[in-house]
Amino acid sequence: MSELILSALGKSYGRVPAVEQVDLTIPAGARMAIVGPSGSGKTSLLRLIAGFEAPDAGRIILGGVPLNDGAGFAPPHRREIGYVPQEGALFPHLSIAANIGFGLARAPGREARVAELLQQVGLPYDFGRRRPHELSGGQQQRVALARAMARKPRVMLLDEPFSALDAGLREAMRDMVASILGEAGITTILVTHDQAEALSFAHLLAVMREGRLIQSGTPQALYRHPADPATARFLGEAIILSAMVENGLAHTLLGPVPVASGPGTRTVMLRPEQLLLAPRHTGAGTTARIVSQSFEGASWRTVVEHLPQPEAGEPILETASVFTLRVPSAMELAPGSLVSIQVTGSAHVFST
Amino acid sequence: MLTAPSLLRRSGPSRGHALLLAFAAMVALLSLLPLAFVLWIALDSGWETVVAMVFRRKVADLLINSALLLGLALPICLALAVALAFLVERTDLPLRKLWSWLFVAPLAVPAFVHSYAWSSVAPGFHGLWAAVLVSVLAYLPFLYLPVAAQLRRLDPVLEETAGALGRAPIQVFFSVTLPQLRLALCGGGLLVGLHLLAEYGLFVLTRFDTFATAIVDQFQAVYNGPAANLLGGVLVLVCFALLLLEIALRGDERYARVGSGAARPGRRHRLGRLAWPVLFLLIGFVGLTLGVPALTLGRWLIQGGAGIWRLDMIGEALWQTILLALFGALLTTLAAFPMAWLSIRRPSRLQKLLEASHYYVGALPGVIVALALVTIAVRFIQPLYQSVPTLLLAYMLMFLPRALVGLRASIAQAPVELERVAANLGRPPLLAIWHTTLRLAAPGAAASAALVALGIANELTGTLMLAPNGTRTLAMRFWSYTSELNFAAAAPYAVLMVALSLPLVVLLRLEADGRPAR
Repeated sequence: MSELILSALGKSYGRVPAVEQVDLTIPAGARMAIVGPSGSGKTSLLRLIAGFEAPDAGRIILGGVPLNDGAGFAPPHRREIGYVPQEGALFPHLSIAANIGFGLARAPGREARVAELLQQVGLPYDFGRRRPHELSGGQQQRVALARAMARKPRVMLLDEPFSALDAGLREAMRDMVASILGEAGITTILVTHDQAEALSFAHLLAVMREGRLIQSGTPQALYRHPADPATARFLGEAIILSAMVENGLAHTLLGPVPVASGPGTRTVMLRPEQLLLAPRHTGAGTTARIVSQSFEGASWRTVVEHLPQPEAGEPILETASVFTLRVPSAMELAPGSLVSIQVTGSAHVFST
Repeated sequence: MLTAPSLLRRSGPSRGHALLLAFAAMVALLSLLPLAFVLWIALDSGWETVVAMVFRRKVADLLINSALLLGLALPICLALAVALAFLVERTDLPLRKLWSWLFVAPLAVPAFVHSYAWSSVAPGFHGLWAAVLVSVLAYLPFLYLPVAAQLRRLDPVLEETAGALGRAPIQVFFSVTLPQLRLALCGGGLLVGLHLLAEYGLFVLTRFDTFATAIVDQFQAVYNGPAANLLGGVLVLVCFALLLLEIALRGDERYARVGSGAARPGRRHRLGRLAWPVLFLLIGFVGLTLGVPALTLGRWLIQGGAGIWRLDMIGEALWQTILLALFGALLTTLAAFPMAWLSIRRPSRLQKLLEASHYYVGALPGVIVALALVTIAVRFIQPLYQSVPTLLLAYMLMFLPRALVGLRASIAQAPVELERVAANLGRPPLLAIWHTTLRLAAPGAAASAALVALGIANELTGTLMLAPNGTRTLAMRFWSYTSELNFAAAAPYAVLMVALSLPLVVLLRLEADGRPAR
């Protein structure tokens, strides 16, 4: 188990900075997900940690030992860092057993270790004789994981390993990988552009954009208190409103919402699940009109248009807006019908 | 329901399709002529003649020579091709683009011009080692091209993963990179091997006896004697052995990339202090492949002065060469088109069989094709003996695979939907193909026809054996002057052949860059 520290890490290709001034600490045994849109530098960061590229600036320290300094640079094969690339990248000229045993020394016990790893990733023993192209995508990913686990790495890097799998398989694989790595206590970094995957897989989340680390923390903290509107939207659907804050209340077009912030004009965020829709006649809340509804099985994806409130005497900066909300599947609402919107919980205030 | 009976046609291939199939079958039958000839020779000569002619010292010597030549030149070519391709594609070698062109450029110099250059630089340099050296210099590009292309296409993620699994870079190269090059090495190695077996001029000048030189000698001594024919039979067996060896070594494993993620270019290794020594070695190597021919030709041109430029003779040779090359290329391309279309649009078991016979004939040395056509002409159709149609037919058979490969690729790029739409708009099948696929495939077809034409322009063996009296191509003129040791008079012809072959280098390089791995 080793703590991984990145300090002021930077890398650019030509004049294009891929990673800029990244400081990040990943505690020993933690699972961290690095998320960001494509081109945000998350894969570049992973390649720096793996040692496939040398950083231009900054340091990478694993278990107290620097992996690079001004003069030296530990090559990938001396780092004891496991790597599972997208699509697995199994060696097509080797059998599954030879793939898994690739990183193991030719010593007695090698075969037993390969068998153990196959079992660990839930593949039958006789798969060892097969060739990579005879396996499905999910099976290939399992082999890639087993291959990387074989050397008991100090850190495991996962580069969007689930993105090529179909939805159902993806969740199962994610749970399996999380439990295997958790049992082995290996510090893990997952790179993904899928926020749902990141939120459910990781103990810790780091959000990157344009080569910079925007925010890091627990998934819950980042979901509730994102650093900026872009991060808020990246981690889930968000309703972002301008508000006038007075006495711990943000006055928005949806009515007053409690906030933890000083007075002034602010940008606040609500998550859609904080908004409750009810038929208009039930009373409380502000008025809105249903624009359309589309059925999603467990819920209705509902587009509502918030209407200007005639009786509003409060200092509101916006007067009308359209939101997309989800309502339980029992609640079918006709387009054009009026509903009331009620806000629960408190709003997050962006610091900028 | 259709009521008009004229609209109905019994199911099965359309008339256009049947016509193409018939045409392809005819070409395939023609392709089988050389093989039929060898079998017929073996049967016709009788067992005793075969034993007497084949199981003798001369044949054993030729077999040993061929084995030594292949056994030495091929491994050297394989190692050099991998080393040069790795330097260009995977290191920070300065001027990589220039080097990669320089490594392909020897293709512009016909093999017998390479050995002409060497035998005038070092007149006493003969025998096995001379043959090996000149073969390696002349044929290395055939291996370098596919190896470099494959190396460029390899997904670097495999090598990175191997590194992350604890293998040092040198181990990664041998355990991951090299196995991925297997198909390119096998294919390129086969091509070089077949060229070595077929080459005539190179080995005459280095005074190294091979089957090809022995067959041509025999043939020129006794036209159509059983000795030459039976030697031809043994040579065919050697070629087939090489083909089988390649199939065995190639294996049936898949080497395509697993998955489809975007491939990044691989990280280049730093040469560091090695850069200068490597550069010096490469300069030395290019000095051997290009410098020696260039210097020799330059020297002879200067020594010969204006006297060697007999424009009447040169002009005649150039004109004849161009005519033969153009008509040969046209015939070959037309002959290959039905097969190419069928193999893309109507794949079937019959089509595979026909296509195989189109391809195998390209593996046969020119001497075999020539021997077969000579024998058939002499025995059955006397007027065709030493006639232009026979010569063109020989060219067609020799270069059929070249045309087929290019045509297939360009037809595959023309969407079949266009043919269907054209049919839907009322064009009968052949016209539909003519108006859509043929038009779209035209640039690719032109490129492959050019490759065939360039091959014909430098063809020596078959031309020497089959050309009508009075034919004087550039290669023939060059060869007769060189045989008289009149190196200066041969020089202008060599220069013209090199100039004609320059487009070949460009075309082959572009093709290797563009074609995906098997």
